[in-house]
Amino acid sequence: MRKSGVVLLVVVGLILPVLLFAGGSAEEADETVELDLWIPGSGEDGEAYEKIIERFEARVENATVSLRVIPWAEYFTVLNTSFAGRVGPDVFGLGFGQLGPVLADGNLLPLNEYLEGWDGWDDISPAMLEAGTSDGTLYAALAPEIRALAIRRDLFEEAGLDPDVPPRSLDELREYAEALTIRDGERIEIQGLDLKSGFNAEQELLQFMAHVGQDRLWTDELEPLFETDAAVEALTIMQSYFLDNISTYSDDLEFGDGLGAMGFMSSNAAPELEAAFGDDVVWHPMPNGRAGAWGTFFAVGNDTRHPEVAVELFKEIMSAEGQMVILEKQGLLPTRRSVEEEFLSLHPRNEVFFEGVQNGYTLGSINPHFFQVIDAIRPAIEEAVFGMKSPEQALSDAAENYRQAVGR
Amino acid sequence: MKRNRLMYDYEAYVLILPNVILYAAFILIPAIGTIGLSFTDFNIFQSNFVGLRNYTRLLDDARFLRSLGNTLYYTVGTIVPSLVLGLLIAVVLNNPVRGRAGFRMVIFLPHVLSVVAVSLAWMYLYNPSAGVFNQLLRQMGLPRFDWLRDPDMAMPSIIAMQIWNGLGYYMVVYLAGLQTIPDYLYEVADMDGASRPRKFFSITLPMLAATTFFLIVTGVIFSFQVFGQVYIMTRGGPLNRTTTIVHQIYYRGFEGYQMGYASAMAVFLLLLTVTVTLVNIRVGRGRGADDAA
Repeated sequence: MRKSGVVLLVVVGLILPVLLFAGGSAEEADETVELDLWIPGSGEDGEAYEKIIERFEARVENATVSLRVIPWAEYFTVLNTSFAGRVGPDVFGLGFGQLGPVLADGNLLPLNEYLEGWDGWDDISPAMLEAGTSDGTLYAALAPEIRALAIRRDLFEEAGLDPDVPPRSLDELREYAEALTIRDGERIEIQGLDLKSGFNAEQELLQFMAHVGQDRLWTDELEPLFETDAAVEALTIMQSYFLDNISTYSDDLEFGDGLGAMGFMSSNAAPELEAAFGDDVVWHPMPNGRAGAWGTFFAVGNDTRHPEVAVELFKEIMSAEGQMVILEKQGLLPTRRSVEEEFLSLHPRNEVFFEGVQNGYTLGSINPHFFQVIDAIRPAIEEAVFGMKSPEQALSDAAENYRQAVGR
Repeated sequence: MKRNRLMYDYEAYVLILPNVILYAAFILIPAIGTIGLSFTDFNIFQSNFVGLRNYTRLLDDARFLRSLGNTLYYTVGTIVPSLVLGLLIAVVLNNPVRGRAGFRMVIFLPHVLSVVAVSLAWMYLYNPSAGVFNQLLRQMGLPRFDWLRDPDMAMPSIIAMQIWNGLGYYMVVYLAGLQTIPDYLYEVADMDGASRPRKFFSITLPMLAATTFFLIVTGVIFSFQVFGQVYIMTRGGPLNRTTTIVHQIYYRGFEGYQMGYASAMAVFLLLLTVTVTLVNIRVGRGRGADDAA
């Protein structure tokens, strides 16, 4: 009796939770459309979307949105797993590296047919729409951060340079960087130009490439553009900053730590930098007037059961009001021309960011082999800036590695 | 008799069932699944059988081979100094020195800290500009180092941190071992007029053979799994000088979504760990570790 009692308890303990959690939903008969919105980031990032959801639910009858904010580190794993299990979100954010693979696996809803007459077509920066377009079809829209030239006014003045007259060419940039570098013997105390040498260094390379005439890392046919003259020239220039002791090797930019006089900084970092250095941080356009753009894409899931309503939520996010909320809470820049006046009125440096978005460029078209690009190009940059290989050799090897990895 | 007991003692089986289910669900089945995946090109969305291709690719993958070398470097670099320092500290703190409990606690404390917290704290210490180490060197008029950025310094810097972090564990296990050595052995040695070093090398060290063997085996297993420190402090760089096998598994599996290939790396790591452990056991037996135990 006692034994059988214990056995019964254990068996019931094991089976009961299974029965409870395997039960069917009681909401099936409900006519309300429920959408899932997934956003990569931290809890604070969710605040912007709570506001957007509020507006959306007031505008679209019988629609409710469940928001889930997932840390970047685990976001892609959670997202991919949900797609594999056919339980993906209706609307979601994506990083640059994720867009291509997610599209290649058929998880993005082609948006054109749902966006007929959408005011975004004419209002949003064409470059930012292009970033989420493949074969003429829009799959995602970008909420960008851009790179601009941040400089330290105090360090410029110490070096006898005018902080309001930024470098206008790569040659000038180099002259300024040399003049601004502060060394203690062989050690760099203040970098003339703060650059990354490893993690995300492809972003730095692309900035230099754009200055010598090439603003993408692959063709629309996904052929690598690593071996071009422009790429080699750009990496040679970048390499010289490290070998000539103007920039230090680092995975992270150190301008924010006060260790750089100039840096290709993200617009996202502006509030933090200004809080740290006040008026001593001055933002200028990049020497060629163009800015590399990164950020978060927004897309609609191909498996959504309510594509029309999900696209309405997408439109709410990308509306002028939605973009301004995202700017306020998350720091991602608006891409609509119609918000120019409001955006510029918030801060004088926004002029630089606004122009950057309008003239921006990204790494290239949507690429399902993004990881393979990064996997090939980052080690090449590192090998070159450490002087292990010539830029030409490093980039040639990178192109070969990329082709091998993607079977070309 | 045994057979009968197996037949009727079903209550015991039921009682261990929850554990068996959890073990099977979260360890056994995934482990078997990983072996299966290692023969595919699984990337979450699709999976095709590729035979031994992932394993042959391992042999051609310069970065994986580099990670293997780095892992072995890290393993030897952490275990040997940890054994020596752990033993020395244990021997000292096994004596009735003043503040013994406090010293033991202070030395053991880092071991219970999260590797994430420890890594972040040491990143500040290693900071080339504001870090404590370079500040001290500067005050002493010595050259400063780019601890985690210099390809030749990065792995030794991680190893140094790990020795500090794990030393308490080695000390505590050695302390336990020291307390199992019978006092009469030392008393007999005293009667024979043995010196302190002689007693250490002829009694203490041999009697701790089993403890040392245990620390080597567990140390190797833990070291082969090193990941957190590398991921947080260097991301495997610079120039892949600090990438380890588990870091490569993570990189390929969760950044590149090459789950099949990452699984092959994991299976390789499993085989490597089992092989090294078996060799350790054989060597340990040969040296009488079992007897000492």
